[in-house]
Amino acid sequence: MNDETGSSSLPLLLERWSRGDRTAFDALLTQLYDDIHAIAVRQLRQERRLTIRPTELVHELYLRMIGANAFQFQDRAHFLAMAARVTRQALVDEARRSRAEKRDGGTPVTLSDEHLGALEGGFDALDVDALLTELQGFDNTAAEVVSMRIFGGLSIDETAEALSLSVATVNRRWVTGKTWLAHELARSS
Amino acid sequence: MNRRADRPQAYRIFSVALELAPADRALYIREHCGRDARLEQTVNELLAIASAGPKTIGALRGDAEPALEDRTGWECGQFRLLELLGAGGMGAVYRAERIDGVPQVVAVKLLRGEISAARTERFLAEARILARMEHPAIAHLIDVGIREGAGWIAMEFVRGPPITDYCATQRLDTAARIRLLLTIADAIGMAHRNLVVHRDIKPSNVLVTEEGHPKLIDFGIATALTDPTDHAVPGSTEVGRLFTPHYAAPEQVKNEPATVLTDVFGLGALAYRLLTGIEPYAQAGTAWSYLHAVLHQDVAQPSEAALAAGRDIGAVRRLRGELDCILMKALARDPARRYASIRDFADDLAAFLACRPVSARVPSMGYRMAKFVRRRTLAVSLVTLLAVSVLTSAVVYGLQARAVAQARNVALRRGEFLEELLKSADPDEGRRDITVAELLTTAAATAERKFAGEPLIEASMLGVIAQTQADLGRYREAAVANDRQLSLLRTQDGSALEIGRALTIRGLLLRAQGQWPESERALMEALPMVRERGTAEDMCVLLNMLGAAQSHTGEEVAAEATYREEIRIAAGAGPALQDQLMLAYGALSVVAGGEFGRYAEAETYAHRAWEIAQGLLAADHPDRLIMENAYARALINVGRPAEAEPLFREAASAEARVLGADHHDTLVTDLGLVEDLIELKRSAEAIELALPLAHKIDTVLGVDNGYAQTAWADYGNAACDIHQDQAGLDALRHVEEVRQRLLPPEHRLIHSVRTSIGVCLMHLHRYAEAEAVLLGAASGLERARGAGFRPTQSAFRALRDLYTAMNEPDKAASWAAKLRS
Repeated sequence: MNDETGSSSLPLLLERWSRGDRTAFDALLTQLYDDIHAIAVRQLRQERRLTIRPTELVHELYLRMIGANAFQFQDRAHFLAMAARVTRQALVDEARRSRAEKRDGGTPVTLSDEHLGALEGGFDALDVDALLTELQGFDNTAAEVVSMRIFGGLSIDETAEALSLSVATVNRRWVTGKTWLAHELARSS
Repeated sequence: MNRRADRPQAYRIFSVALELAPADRALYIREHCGRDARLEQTVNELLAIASAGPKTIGALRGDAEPALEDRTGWECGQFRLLELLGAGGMGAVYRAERIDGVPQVVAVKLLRGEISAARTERFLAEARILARMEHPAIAHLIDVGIREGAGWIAMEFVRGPPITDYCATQRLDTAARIRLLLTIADAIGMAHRNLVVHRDIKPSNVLVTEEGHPKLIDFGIATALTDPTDHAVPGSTEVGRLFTPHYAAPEQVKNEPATVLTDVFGLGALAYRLLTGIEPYAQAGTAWSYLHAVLHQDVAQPSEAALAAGRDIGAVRRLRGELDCILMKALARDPARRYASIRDFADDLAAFLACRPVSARVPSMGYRMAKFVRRRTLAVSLVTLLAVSVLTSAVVYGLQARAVAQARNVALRRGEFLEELLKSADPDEGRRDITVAELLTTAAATAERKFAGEPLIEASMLGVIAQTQADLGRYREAAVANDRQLSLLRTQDGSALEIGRALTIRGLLLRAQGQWPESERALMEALPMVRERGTAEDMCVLLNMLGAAQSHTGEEVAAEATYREEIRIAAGAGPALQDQLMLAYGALSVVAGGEFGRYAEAETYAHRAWEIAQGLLAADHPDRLIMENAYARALINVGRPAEAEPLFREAASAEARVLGADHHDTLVTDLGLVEDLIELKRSAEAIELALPLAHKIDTVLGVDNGYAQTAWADYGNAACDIHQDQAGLDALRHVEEVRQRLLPPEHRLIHSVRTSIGVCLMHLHRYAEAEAVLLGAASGLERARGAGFRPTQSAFRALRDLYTAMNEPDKAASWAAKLRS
């Protein structure tokens, strides 16, 4: 309930931004962050979820926005890409905060993603983030693609559009990137 | 073990190895890992994950998913778990037996996750309500309980396949499928009267017993698991988790409470799947796209979806009209527009079975712009047009239908956002009963007014309007919108790519009206623009249409070059455009063989297309079967009919099974088999197949269809072969007559059939007539396609035989000299 009010301004900001109002961009990002973060926190605390499915966060946000009349999807792929980046950031922040709060390591924020083979269990959000950052060092494209897919739930086509890549490239990098990430996660856990 | 410094290197070796053929990988890895065994192991692990999917990770991690932990042997209430049957989103299902020895086998579902103490009571209370439901089509609930915090539910054990598999293996017809649906509807109706909603009706939840009785399983379990107090926090239940793409209603996707109308949608979706063979919103492959589709678009009209999926014409016809209306009403996005109850839905299905009038009327599709994204009747007109104009090859139809479908997809993808735009632009949005045609007219006018200052947006919108009108078969209206779009783009500095794409649509429009030369011109104009800016896929779609237009206008040389360019682009784009590559090779094989008589080359191309099809498509995929047929035909032409026979037989039986015995593709493959048998000199067998086939093609595709003529010609040839000459001659004369009516004079196909007529006349000892006919045919064919062309050679051979029979050895020898081995 408490986070319902904030999201109402998102569609308006998005509209301003899509009309070319660059000043709306910062506000848009901030608002998006607040909304995503609020949903994540609510899931973790009120619902006592053990794992977060990042795609669901974006999904829920999306549903609230299409409820608002002013909202039009002019550039869905780019919006979702932005949401994916913000989701990653929000989850990492939340994980760090939770870790700092509980000195003994506390409850980690764990992520689950079917692409990574974790339907039930989850992976530590900080691990995922660190590995993606590492992957960026030697295959930046793959890291971006994986990030879009996992944190934003973008389809292959949407990812291609958002990153201005060909579908073939996205397909290839998605396979190599996700495989590597899954492999390293399996190793570290 | 997995040293951090090695990671980039392992990743790089893995990335390259993945692109290599499996056989070459080992060598590459060994070369690049040197003697570093750990590196090599890492690379191999990566390859294993990439090929086997994420499941291997669990094994690598050494942790089984908790829910998959085998609980065999557990005792739940009075039952003992015997065997794990499967696991799904909600839990794992076991076969179980009574502990006390009473012979009763049940299914026990162990639910995932813990049920909190607070919810235990509620769970048990819900379950008690469910246990009271008794209906022969509901797998009844026997007992429930909680063990170690996990809920379990014991249900009647149903032995049988999901309803979709059952209908397929039993090859049930429409009426039988509807009868099954009526039984299920009756069960759901009973539950609704007990205030229980199923919420998850889908094929895997409807099993059919050996005796043919459908049983709904998991009734109300979704409901029992939902705590109604959850609604105090809107959107707080697990969004995206409890919905099944293709069967979930819009309100479920939006996480709104389910009602009886949700089950109307669910049963509607199941009916759609059973009656059309494809799922509602089949094009929405991911959860995201399903979510978007089900919220924003009407489901594709069943008959059109079936047509687009290549179902046989009979099935499409049965759907068109009343069943279309019934299913569209059940699947209305707005619950208020659906049937008010399962009972009403069932009444309409029953009325349809009994041929009584149904209550669902043609839906007023107009009030939403969703139909922009709906497949339309274009394919129908294409079938008709192609049937008349395509005589050369069996594959052309299939190839073109695909190319058109793909061109349309490109255009449709762009349409998504315009749909939204137009919706808000349309002042009539609230009106409910305007027709599509009216709406489009309004939209065109609105576009002009509303976007007066934004010509490029107007242009994009006109593009969508043009596409939709074309899909509706309203080519003239489509052309008007397309013209205006093009002129706006040109005068207002539209991007070259936009212009190129608009011209591609124009090419499509012209071709749909049979204006091949004009279509070719539009596509040629589009070519440089798309070449410069478009994606590889844009290019391939364009080139494929262009190639077809060129071969239709007699520019086979240009067509060949076009297909070769398509091959280059598709091959360069890697795995993503393999399907385009396959189409291009298939088309090239037709051009090389059918048009130029370069049979050996044609065989190579057809073989390549067939190889790709085998690697790319499932064994029963219609496109794969088309390629198999094409390859078999190419084999006949290179004198390898014996190898072709098993291919024809395999493709024919798969097509009969998948597409139906009356489907266009099936008939064409049957025809190939007939020709193969003639080639193998098994004329008696050929006749047995050919006669009923020719009659069937006449009925299904029409007398004027090219294949009908081919079938009668084949029958005629085979009949002459086994000296049923008069019957053969009658058939061949019929073909000659039809071809003279439909084709330009001197067409090679007219000469071909005359060759056959000449042979028949010769058998009847009417030598003078035979001589005149054969001489005309031989020179006509040689003029049209050269001496090496197979039909030309056949005419030469007939002349040699004729003169031999007439005892004129010199003339016989001079014709024999023109024969090639």
